Amino acid sequence: MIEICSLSASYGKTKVLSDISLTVPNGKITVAAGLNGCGKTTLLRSVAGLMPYSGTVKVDGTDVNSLGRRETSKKIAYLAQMKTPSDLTVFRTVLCGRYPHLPFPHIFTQSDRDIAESAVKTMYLSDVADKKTSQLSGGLLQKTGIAMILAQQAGNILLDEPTAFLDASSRLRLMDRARHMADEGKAVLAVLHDLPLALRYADKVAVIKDGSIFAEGSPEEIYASGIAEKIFGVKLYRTETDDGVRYFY
Amino acid sequence: MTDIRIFVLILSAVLVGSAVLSICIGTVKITPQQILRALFSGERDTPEARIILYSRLPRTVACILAGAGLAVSGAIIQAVLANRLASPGIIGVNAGAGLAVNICIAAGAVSGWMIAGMSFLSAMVTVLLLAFAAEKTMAGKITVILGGVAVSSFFTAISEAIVSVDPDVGLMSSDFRIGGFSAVSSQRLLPAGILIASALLFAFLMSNELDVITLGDDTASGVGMNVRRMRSILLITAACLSGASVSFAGLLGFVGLVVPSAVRKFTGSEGRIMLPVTAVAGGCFVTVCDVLSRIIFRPHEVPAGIIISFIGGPVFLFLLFRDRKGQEI
Repeated sequence: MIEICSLSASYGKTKVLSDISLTVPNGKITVAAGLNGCGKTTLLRSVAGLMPYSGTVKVDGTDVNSLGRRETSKKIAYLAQMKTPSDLTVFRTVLCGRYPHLPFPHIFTQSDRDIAESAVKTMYLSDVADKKTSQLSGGLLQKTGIAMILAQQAGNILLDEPTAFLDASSRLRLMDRARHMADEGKAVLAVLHDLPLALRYADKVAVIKDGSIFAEGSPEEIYASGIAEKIFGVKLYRTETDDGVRYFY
Repeated sequence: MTDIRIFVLILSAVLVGSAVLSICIGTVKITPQQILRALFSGERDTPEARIILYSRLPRTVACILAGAGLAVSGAIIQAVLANRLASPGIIGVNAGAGLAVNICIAAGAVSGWMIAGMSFLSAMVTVLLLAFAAEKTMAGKITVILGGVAVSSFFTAISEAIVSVDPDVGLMSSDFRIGGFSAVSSQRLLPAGILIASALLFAFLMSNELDVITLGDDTASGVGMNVRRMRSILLITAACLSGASVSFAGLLGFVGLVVPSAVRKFTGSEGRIMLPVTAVAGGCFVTVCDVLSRIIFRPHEVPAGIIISFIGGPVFLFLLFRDRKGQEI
């Protein structure tokens, strides 16, 4: 579980986040939604311990600031928005997800390789496991990133625009994977641009505006309040299938 | 047998062959049997044994160490700066080390440890300054290269000024500016060799870190790496390798640029394979070039740096334009 309390963050003199408080419970998908530049990515980077902030972030009851970089990464896996393709193979990239678990001198064991192999299979990347990530499409690169955080085996997952670059079916499969991670008991905090997708998959939505939480609630509450339309400037519709699956569009 | 294994086998064979040839050729011809006798039978008082032990062997070891050091230094710098055009020669690290050597010679501080240590320190300051400036200004790849070229020119200008003011330095450092091994001595080689061997071992141990850092700052931090600290550690290692190499081999160009790029074509970028193979390939390349520098214009000898540039320039152009297809480096 991630507990964010009165978090503020700045880039230089520009304040980006102001007094954010949010709880990301285990077993649920929490989505931070908002317009470009509202501070969603800064929120994730702060929670991941990648930039300084004021306030408190607790992960599984422990203040992140009291943890070392490596200990934080054992508890929180972070899928960055801008992934840098390298000349490493897909398998080797996924294996790097095991890095926080390596004792000095940081040599990967067979067990690490097995875990990475399993993550590669889970994300259907076996066919491209030996390809360089610089040769992959944006979608496959994104899947490689997800496989890497699966290999990291952290209990708390931060996803920054995980569906970017993906086609429609891949977007749904990826969010199904996020749902699966939540069902395994992990706390998932995702930043999504795609509002209908966010409302469909989220258990809780935090709408961020100008660096602060403007509204917070279940997707139904956010939809019913009309807040999303006010913030995003688009009309949303809802439908539900006979078996209870809700869709927003 | 995989392509990589065949490549490593060929490299190893060429390295051994060129090393033996490097010891054998010269004004006094040496046979492989004489090498074995001088090295293993304790027969060290013959003229041939003295030539082997005090002239040819140090020169050959110097070629291997300088090649391995500069090549691995280039591989590390390229990975850390995420820039295939970066190398200790291009971004001014070698020029910084060269300036330190000239200052040492001008000041009369010509002990092996002093020259190797100052070269290392100067190379380290250069690479860290450049990396710091690049990070602070979020400079692009080409900007970093151009900044390095400017730094290199600046240090070279200071070196030339020292040579102009003190012609004795010029006499002692003419080979140094081109790069070569004709004046290598055990006294100069030993301290630098210890630094290079230690830094190579450390670099091999850091191969997983090198892989992680190539994933980008946020991803590397996300898997638990203190990126800023690790970048500094790796760049200091690279500076140690290139500074120590320059201290006895001079300003050899292209080794740190061409060898890692060529090796990656065969091994990929995984550090635990790429770094050791780069070390072997670097040693191999420089030793072959040094042998050629003694053979091509016989009975005259040209500095090895000239042969390295003759070969390195076209090879780099080939690697630069082959398979590029409009992609950014």
